[in-house]
Amino acid sequence: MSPGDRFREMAPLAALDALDGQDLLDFREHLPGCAECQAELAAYEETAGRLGASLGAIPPPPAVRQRVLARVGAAAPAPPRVVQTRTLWWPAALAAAAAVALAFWLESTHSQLEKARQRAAALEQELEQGRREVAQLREALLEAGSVRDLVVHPETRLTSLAGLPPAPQARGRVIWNAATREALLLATGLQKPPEGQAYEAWVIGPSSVPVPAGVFQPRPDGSVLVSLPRVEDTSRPRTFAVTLEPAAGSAKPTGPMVLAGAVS
Amino acid sequence: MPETRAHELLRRVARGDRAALGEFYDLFAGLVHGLALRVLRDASEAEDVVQEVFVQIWRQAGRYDPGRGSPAAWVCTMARTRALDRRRWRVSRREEPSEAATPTTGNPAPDAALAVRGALSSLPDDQRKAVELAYFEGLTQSEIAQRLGQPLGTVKTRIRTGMIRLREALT
Repeated sequence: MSPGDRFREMAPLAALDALDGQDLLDFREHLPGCAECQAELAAYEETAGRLGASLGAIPPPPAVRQRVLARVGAAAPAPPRVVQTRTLWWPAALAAAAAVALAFWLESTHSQLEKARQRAAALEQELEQGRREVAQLREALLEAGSVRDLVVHPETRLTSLAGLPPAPQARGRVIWNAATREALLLATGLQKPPEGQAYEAWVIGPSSVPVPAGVFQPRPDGSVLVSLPRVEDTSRPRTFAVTLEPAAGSAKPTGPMVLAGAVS
Repeated sequence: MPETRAHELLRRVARGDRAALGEFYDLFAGLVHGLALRVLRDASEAEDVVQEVFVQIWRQAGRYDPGRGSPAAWVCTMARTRALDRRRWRVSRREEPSEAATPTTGNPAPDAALAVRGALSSLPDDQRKAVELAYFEGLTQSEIAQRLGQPLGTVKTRIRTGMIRLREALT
């Protein structure tokens, strides 16, 4: 999709004022310089405008008409009148000038209000975007905080994992704590698993039965940092291992082992 | 809607002709009122919107630009903006009236309304719902996704596809 397509596709949403977040900011920046998008937007605004007519007319009570006409009667917009300067008495000229000034002032106040309203709506959108980013950052911070807590804990230990023949270039480490039963697996050099498969971590304790400790996909650069669940055997691990399994994970290892390390 | 008649009335309103405003009101008050009722679901607030919109038309008739759309679309935009402003204000204070006050249908609808209603009802339900939430409730794409429990991408596609079809059906 070309960048132009992306904006053209936003036009129908923009006509309903439905854009928000980054889309809204991007579209607003793009619009002034793009005649095609302006035309698209105008066409969709016309469509949107006609949605308002979908309900048909529901006449308001007659009193509303009277209220409207009474209000505009009192506040006529003072259409410019041609006056005979000669016959004008100066207080009247002053009053007329004041009325024109007042009309201009009302008009400009109104347009300022309208601009302020639009600006407020835009700020509200930006605020919402900011809130979402803060929530994401908070989550990332919590994660970083729990990693730090684990690493600085006095009883935390480190076990190295070596790459086995299917993945000789792979290297891994498990940072684990028997007391809190927390464990983090860090690895590098992992290939992207074949379609429908994923890596699965295992903890092997005194029972010698591998206990599943989470399924994961490596990042595009072959690295991974995952928190292993609090499996019971994390309290007395003897070996950590990683195998290649079906994407949904297995109850016991079925695929080739790619990483393994014994607790010394 | 008799477009040329509406244009001419707006020109007269712009010159300060009160009688023209009365006639313009008679053409469009039902439209504004129907839309305000649909958005606000409250009779007295909808009447306030009608009043505000026509006072605004009195002040701004001179700004109407035929190149940017029909008088009906212009009036609808004003009515929707004002009604949604009130609705947001109310939502921010959590004063939501019951859905019971929903207007069902207006007077025998003119051809224009029938055409729009027909075009709307010919949309698949999911597209129609998404477009209506945006237009009548003033929700943004993310808010609609949240309301419907659907992925954002899906909601964007529904609104876009719905609007493309409406545009085709109405031109």
